[in-house]
Amino acid sequence: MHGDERSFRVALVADALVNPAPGAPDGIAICGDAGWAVMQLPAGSYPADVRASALEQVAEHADEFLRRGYALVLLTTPADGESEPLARALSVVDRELPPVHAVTSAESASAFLASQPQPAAATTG
Amino acid sequence: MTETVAFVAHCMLNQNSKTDGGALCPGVYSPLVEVLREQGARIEQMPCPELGFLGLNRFWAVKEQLDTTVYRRHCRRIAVVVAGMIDAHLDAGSDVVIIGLEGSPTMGVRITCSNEGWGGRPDAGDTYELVPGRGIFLEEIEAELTSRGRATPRAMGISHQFPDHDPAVERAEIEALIAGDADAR
Repeated sequence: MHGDERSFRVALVADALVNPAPGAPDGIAICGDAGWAVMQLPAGSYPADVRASALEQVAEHADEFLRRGYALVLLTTPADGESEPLARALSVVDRELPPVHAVTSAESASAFLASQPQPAAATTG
Repeated sequence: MTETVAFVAHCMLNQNSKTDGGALCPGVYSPLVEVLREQGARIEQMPCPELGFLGLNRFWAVKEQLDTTVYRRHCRRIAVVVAGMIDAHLDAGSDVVIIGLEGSPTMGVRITCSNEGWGGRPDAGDTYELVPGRGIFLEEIEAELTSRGRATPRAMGISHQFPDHDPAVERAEIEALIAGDADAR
């Protein structure tokens, strides 16, 4: 790698945080401010086959980031409709759920992101 | 009021998916997100076909290099997913727009990249041309939507990687796209 501005940090983010209701935590802003990239999880409102196919893509992308030593976490809502279907998709590529944080506030999510260890790719890339 | 749903290139929210050397910020390209938030648009991040097919350590490529039957099939497989999502929003009465990445062999909307002679050793030092045209994934999305009897949504491409990039012009183009005043088809 020759290097660029990338952070080597990627958060899988629940749709309800990517497209937050008024007053709810903004997952993109939280990640952007912390220097983390976002991979959006498909909304639960999609037809089951569409959601499953979208999660398959997320899992394949996640696998590549993990293979290359990038940091990966999951930001869910407290209701957490994401972990179970994501875990199923990740199992297909022999991966487990990354560290999970149920976002109740921007502050708690920022602290969670800041607490993550330095990704291997950031030191070897 | 009709909701606008913006399907955005994967790298707009995930600069880590870029080819080495292409990430212009740590994670999120916030200028796009700011405008979409201001306009009240819903955000849908599309998968990155290049990341899935070639991985993070891929070389830069021009459209001719990626334009193979197998890569098109890969893009079509993802286009089926995206078209399924677009279908759901159109059925719900939403307006849909696509925001790609100009100059990309995969995600270009109005501009892609071309060099018929590229290949072999990756350090050839040859240059490529920016030429009018769609990237391969955009073409496959268009084809998939057509097969479903859907029109291609209004679309534009982010051009933040170009030397002459003008953030104010780009913001105005995004606003016009959301408003329905622009159609790059």
